[in-house]
Amino acid sequence: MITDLARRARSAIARLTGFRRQQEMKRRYDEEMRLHVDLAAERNRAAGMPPDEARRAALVAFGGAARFAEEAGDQVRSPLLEEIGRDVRYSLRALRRNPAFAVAAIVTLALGIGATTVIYSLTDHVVLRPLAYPSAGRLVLVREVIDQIRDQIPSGPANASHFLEWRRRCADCVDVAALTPIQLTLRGEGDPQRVPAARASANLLPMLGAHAQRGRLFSDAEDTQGAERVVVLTDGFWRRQFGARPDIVGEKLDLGGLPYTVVGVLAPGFRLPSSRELGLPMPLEGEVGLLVPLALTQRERSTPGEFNYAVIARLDAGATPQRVQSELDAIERELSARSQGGITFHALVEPLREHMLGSAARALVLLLAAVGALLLIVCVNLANLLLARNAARAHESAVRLAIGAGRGRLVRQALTESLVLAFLGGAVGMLLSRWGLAALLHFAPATLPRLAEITLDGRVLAVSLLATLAAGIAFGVLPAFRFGHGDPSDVLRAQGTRGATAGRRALHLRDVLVSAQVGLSALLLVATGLLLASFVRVLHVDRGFDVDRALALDLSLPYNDYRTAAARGQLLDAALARLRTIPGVTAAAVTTALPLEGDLQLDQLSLENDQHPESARPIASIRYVSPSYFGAVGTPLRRGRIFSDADRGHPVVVLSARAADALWPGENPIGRRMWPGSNDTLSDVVGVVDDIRTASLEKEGTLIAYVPYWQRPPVSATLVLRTAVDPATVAGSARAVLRTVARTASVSRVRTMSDVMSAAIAQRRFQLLILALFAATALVTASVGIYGVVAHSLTRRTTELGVRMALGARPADVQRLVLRQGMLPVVTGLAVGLGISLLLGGSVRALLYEVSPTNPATLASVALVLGAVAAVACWLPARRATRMDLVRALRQE
Amino acid sequence: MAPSRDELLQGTLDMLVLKALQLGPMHGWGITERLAQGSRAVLQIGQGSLYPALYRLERQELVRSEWRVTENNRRARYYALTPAGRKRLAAERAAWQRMSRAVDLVLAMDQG
Repeated sequence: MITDLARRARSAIARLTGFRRQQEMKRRYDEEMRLHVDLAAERNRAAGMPPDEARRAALVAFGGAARFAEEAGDQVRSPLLEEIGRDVRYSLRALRRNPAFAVAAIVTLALGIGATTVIYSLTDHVVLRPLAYPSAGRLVLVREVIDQIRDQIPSGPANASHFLEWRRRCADCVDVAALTPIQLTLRGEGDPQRVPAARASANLLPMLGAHAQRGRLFSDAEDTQGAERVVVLTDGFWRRQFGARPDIVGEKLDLGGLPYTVVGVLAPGFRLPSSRELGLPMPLEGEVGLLVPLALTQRERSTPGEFNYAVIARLDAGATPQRVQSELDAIERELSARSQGGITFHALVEPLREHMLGSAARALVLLLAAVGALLLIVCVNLANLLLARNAARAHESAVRLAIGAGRGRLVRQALTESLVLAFLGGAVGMLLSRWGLAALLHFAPATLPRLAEITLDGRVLAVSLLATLAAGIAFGVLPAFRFGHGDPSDVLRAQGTRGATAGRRALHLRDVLVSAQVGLSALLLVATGLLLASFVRVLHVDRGFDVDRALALDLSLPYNDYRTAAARGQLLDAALARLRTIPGVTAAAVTTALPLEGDLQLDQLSLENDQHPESARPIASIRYVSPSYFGAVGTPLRRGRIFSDADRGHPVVVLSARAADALWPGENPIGRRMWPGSNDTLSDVVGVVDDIRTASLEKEGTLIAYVPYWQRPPVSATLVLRTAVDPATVAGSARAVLRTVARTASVSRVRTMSDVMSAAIAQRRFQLLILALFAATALVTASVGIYGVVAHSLTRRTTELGVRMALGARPADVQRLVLRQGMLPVVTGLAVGLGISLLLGGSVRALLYEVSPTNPATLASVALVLGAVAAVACWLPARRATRMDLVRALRQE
Repeated sequence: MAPSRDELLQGTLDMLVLKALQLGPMHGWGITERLAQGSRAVLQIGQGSLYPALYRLERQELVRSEWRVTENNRRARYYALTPAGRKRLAAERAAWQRMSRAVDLVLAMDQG
């Protein structure tokens, strides 16, 4: 036993290191062969053959030397590398002999690997390495929960004074930093331009591991009022806006009419988390280009009701988010005790990573699972194809076994073939994935984090290489063992009596593989069906506004030019009047927030003599709009009237239906008085309009109080134009009109209302698109698999069917028989697949909308579609079989 | 494990090769010639089977080999039996005779 082990070890070492010995053996073998041929030729000559003929005959007798050299080489035990090389060459030859099989296998594999690569690269960039920040695991996002409104808003950004308190007192934090997004208007050459920017505390950038490639980051001194006129550019903005000018540091930029000195440019590759990822309600379009110091003003430090700051903390090495949470909560309790109006807060400490990923991650994980299932289906299908092909090559394997090839050798050869296939398919797949990714990114929703960074890189390719290897082994292992372990005597004897008993086991195995394919396809179809049902429901939700033919433009007024409310009001009046005259425009309106684009200003609604404590008063979004707004976006009036120009001079308000109901449950609100927000005046309620979806189509919107814009003219607003023509065509003239009305104002984010709607469903549509693509591929692959198995089993049973028909079975009987046998694995697979989807349903619940994961209609349709496709795949070969010539079938033996 | 068909086939070839070498060391070609003559041209061993068998036997240390010069002054690899090979041949031969007698007996049953 021990000596045996020692011998094996020695031989293994000798094989790996014995390259020289190997060369020697090869020379010896060649020489012996040469001698053999020479001696045979000599004998032939001696027997009277002419010399040329004698040599030729010897060579013919030697015949197939190359092939036997392989078997002999087996005995010689060449080093592994060389053997593998030979196996690969042999495999390529075998594939060339059977091009239809090779192409089918490579194409399906390429699709599988390509899809895996694309989805993995998405997932990798969005989910797996979202945070390139140093020791990102110790970064947490601190948000606040306001107990009184947690039903409506479960958690939100933090208050400035709370942030300062945490920063001063958190013992388990290395540091606590904050940022808040702003839009800065950059004036230079050309039109004024709104640039997404962030106010960041001086410690934020170092905490996130940012470095300056030029100049420096902020100093602590600059993070205070009076010293804060400095700006740091991101690498991207520096390149786009200033053509990467090296002398930019030290220059002054006009931002919102104030001079800011450029102190530094961030290193390329650094990216600030987006406001969406930080859970800030103000969406910024595009990447942040500028950073300025946070430099909290006295007012900001002391306003208790403003929760606008994303707070990021770096924890001590030993601290857990839970411990920091309880520590910050203790501080929050003190702050709650001191606060007025009975508002109480809690801190919510979450790992930054988790928060940044959000729902995009869940969706991508689903896609990753789906692509995994697809790859598995492809593998199962290939295993099936290989089994069929190896059945056809059973004779080859039997002969090779009989002339002395080791079984291990045959298994290895068959595995090598599948690996060669896998790598060919993988290579094509990786090529495909380049285009696939480009196409996918074209359809990807803009909300997908870090969209621009997604590329195929070494890491992604390494993973797809791994997937290729795994696939090759997965689909190769079963057929390889089958190939190496046939009983040669059976096969050789069975020549001429095909189809009697041989291959019974192989057929059974292939039925199991068909079941697996069907089951996996069912899973994919169920997931697709559920997402589709959700999608349809989201599209048909009662959203409270129209999307047809409306254009929206964001307008922002430089504060220095429009300091007074009167100036802003006049400008908006003039703009609306002029915009209305543009040909094709039927209505022009102004608002401070569009449907689906979130809530900028939330405040408490109070009754005239409100007896409720402040904490019990409803929170609503306060929107400043023109009377034309409701018509322009198509929000219907329910009661009363819309305010009009006649109401100028006396405060009025229009409420959304739920807001009215919250203030006066079950009563008529028209004519009553209330305070829309703490900064507004006591106003008469003149009308009630429908509720709208404010943040997403899925979630019920917030309560809304609509206040005429002239009561508090905003600095930045959205203009809405209702048009009789394609709304995109009036964008140019609208811009031109606005330029003449307000030269220094900047216009940004021109979009139609259907763009707004598209953006709201983009993520859903994207998931659905990919999943549907996968499901369709799975369905096709599975039906090809079923067809292949049935067709193959029928060719083996030609005689049997011929006999049945000769004995009087009608074609319909035979077809029914074939259908029954072919559908058995399908029904099994379907049952198992649907069962598993019931079990796994909970994991997709978060992605669904008003559809239960066990939705019977979806499950039934999947069963129906899959069953029907499978039945056709069974029936086609059956029909062909029953149409064959009876006599020929019986003669086939 | 019972010997399967192909092992029996291999075993037979091995025995024949050992027997051919019992007559004295010989190169591969010579072995095929000896076997062909000995069987009156019934056994034509192809080199595709012969050399693998020789290498296998050498690895099992039943034969050993060395370069020598033939009577026609050509370099050739000569194979010779080792004591282990001699022992194996005797054993195989006994087994073969036992088997062959048994088969003969069975085949003779009809006439009996």
